[in-house]
Amino acid sequence: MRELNDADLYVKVQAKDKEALSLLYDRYEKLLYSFSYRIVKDGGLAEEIMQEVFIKLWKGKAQYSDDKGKFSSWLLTMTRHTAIDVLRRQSKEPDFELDERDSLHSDEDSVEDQVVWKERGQVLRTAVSKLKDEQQKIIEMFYFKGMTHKKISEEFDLPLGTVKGRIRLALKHLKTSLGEKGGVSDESNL
Amino acid sequence: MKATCEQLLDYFNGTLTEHEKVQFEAHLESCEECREELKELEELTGDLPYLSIPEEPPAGMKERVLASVFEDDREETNLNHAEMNDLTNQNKVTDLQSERKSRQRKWVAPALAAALFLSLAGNVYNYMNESNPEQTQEIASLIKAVQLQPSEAEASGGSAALMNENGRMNLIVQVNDVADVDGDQVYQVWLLEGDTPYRAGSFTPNQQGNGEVTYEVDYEGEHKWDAVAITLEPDDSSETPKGKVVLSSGL
Repeated sequence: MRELNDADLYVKVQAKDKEALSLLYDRYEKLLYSFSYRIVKDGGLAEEIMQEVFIKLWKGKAQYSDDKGKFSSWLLTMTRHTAIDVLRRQSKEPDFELDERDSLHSDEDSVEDQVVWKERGQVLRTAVSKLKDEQQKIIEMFYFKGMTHKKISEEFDLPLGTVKGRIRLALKHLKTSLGEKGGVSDESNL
Repeated sequence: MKATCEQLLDYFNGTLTEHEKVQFEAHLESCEECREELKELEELTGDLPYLSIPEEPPAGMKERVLASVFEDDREETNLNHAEMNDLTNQNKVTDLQSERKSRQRKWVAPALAAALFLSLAGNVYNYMNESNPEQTQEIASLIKAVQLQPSEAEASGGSAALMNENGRMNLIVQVNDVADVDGDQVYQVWLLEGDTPYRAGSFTPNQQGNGEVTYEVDYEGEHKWDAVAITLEPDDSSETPKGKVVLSSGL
């Protein structure tokens, strides 16, 4: 029997098929956990995020449909939103530190079984390390810390109207630096 | 550019309120520029999750996560939250609905949570060893463990665990940093089914403000325990709570 794809499993999960949820869990555990960890930098919190994400999946509180793009992208976005929410619930401001490991990482201490992820990760990290500090920082704050538009404008001392452009520029530079290798197509207007 | 367009970043990050989100989604329908910018953001950030360094998930996480998913589901169907508001009719009781918020609040102190978990795990282990050193694994199982949340902004905390041992159910409660008692006062533990409280052991704290009690839950008939609560009582004979809820949690 062919392996069920993510969307098939998702449909089964909506029909309260526990086995399907378990399969989805296995498929995404490492990626979602690592992504959550990357955002909150705390193992316990990352596990709480996993719990919330799978509760949302099980209860259908977050609804996926084909028009939302790839299931994996949707799930990653849902995870990121959950993680950002958890960060915001923490009373303290997320402390920002540009972790050396985040920009350039030797991979010595992690055994990576998903080849695609590993390759992508290396290319990406190299590309990120080529960005200016300010640009690395704005991507970190915006994407990984979920800092609000207003906060970013304060933090970077930018007028509100400039923030979007700066983020876009940083992301564009990243894309250029990736040399379109392994990246997504980009037909949008510059 | 309209003011609404300025909400794009916050929408993308999921940090708008529910109301703002609905409004922004309506705005998206009519603003092509925002739709395009959103699409572009999604494309440009699509690979970023893969920047994450592969982390080894903690042992047993799958079991814990899935157990909580399925448990949470059951809880949702069985529990009538409104009923939990009212622990007793006459007494001014801190509302137990606050325990519903505990789900949202439990990330506040991860270090505390970790400490509680460890102490709880230790407790269960000891408990199992004492009760039957030979076949602990077969006979004792953890039904549910929760963190107790203080009713007011107090420093106290605690944990409660329902254990099944040889078909008998035990409630193990452990608290820390509760106020000292006067005279005959005791802390009384209650199991709540709907709005009906059942006595479930009492204790007095030690000088450090820590206390614990293990209670065999042996009420006739089928019970679905919705919550556990601790009140401060004048003595250990209260059949219904007379004092305020000090700590509580949904089950």
